[in-house]
Amino acid sequence: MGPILFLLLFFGLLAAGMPIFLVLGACAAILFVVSGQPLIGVAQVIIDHLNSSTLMSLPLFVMAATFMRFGGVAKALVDISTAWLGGVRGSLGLVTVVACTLFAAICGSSVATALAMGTILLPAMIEKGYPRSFALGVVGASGTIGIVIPPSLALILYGIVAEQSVPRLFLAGILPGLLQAGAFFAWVWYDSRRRKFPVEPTIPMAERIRVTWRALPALSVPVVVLVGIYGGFVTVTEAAAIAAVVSLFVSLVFYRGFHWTATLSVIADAVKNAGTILLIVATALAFGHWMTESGVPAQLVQWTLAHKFATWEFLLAINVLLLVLGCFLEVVSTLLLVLPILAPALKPLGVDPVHFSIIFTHNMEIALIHPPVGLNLYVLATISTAPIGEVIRGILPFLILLLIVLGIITYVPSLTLWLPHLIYGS
Amino acid sequence: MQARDTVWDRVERTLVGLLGALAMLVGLVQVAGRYFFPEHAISWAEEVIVYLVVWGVMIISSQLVRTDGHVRPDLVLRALPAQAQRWVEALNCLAALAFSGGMLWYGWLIASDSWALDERSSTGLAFPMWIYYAALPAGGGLMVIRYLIRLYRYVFHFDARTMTVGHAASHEMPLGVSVPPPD
Repeated sequence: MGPILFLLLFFGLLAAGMPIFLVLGACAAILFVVSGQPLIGVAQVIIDHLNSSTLMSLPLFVMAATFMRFGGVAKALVDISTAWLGGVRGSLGLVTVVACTLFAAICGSSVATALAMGTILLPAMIEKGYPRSFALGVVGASGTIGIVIPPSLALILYGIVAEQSVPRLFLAGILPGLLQAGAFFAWVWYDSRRRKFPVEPTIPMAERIRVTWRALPALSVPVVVLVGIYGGFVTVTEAAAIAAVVSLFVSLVFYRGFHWTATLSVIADAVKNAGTILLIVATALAFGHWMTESGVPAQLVQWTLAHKFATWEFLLAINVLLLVLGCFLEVVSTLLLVLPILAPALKPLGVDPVHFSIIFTHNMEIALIHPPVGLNLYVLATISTAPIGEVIRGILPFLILLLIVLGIITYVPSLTLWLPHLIYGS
Repeated sequence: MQARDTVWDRVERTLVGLLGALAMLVGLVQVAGRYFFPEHAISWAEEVIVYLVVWGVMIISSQLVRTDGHVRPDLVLRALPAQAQRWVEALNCLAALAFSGGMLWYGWLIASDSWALDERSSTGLAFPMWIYYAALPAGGGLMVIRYLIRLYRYVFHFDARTMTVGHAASHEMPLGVSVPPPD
């Protein structure tokens, strides 16, 4: 009776439109009271969990992404992709895939990627005569690449909750991210020929070189981050701080997307974006703290072991569970709710936690564009004023591709694990 | 739900902007010091970044209430008629008041205990922990005030045209960048 009442309360509060950090915080408070612990414990757990330097890489990466988004970096990335893909049929669609992949290497969030790219590429594609549903679909789907290609906010959180090395997780995301980008690229290529999308004029070599030169400062950010982390020069949090400083610098000096007098305001906005995530993280960890003490994860492990589930059955069940949850909650909340329960079950069932991190984030990507409630769908509907149905129609082929890629990632672990094993050993 | 900026809003945002800028700088100084000026190198950057960012987040949570920026699933709410939304939102405000009131009260207890015990961080910096803990009651207090204002508006000054779900999108852009076109 107790657990059912609790679940009713949890989903009732969510349905009433209460902010997620409040729902989690209120539920944690109720659980603390029911189990006879003082309420001050909730406050203590919240403030103690925030006191983590690894966690702070997250707001700093969000800051970097905010500077990039308002600083004109997105435009430079679109320009360089357009310069090299001009003359190919449907080039703007291909540009979207490539520019999103490049942006994903700078920014850790899918919604931010979709927003940054959508505001530039959607009007451009519609003006050139691409069907609007296709334009929406390719932007929304390519935006999800942001979540697997490092740096990734989701993978940072995964590393904290499941106690895995964040640099190792970042490496694991690279090949699956590129596989996804490649699949999208191939589909857009094929679809452009099939539906006779427009051909852009070829751009002269001198112009190509000029545009590439101009994009170099933007492309330096992922290089600095990756060399810094994998060269062993800086910690993930230091890398995030450097990424924020460098992206602010290139935005102000090279692209001038905002005036330097607006800097403090843009930083405040970045902290605000980060704050929405951190508050959820803090209350969710309080919730997870209780969950671990309650012994639910241990029971789950025993239950699955007792029923002798094969690893593939377990993974399939998790895929389905995450897709369903993704219809109601966004990425951070799903991750923080489910992972504390699942993480202890991975080892006994023979699932590599690093492999699982990519399965997990990939599931979350699908959830982002999964009808009826994927977050990217609504972001796109808002910035394009298109009806949500049109967005969904455009995104369907990409959704099917993503499901296929998810299958490959789930059942071919070496795709994910090869790179981290190569660099760090197994 | 978008009112014009008051001095209060500007103070909050400027303060948070400064805290965020400092956090970035401290990280940069630590890395630059380690490789270029070893004699002036610092090693407490990550610790201080936590204090700066958590204070920033707690202060900005007030703006998050004001602009309806806290993440929430609003599918069910969206489907309700305006008057029903009004009372559900009022209830949400009450629940939020209880929680942020708790943050204020228990956060105060934690911070004042830490002050009384002169609790320091276990690093070389030996930072006074009450300063960090005080972020919790500060954030709770600011949210209590913002939620009281929000509750008051929903109960006494409800305007179905601007206060139903989906009319707070203008918080997307920071000040001084550019004004998004109206929906």
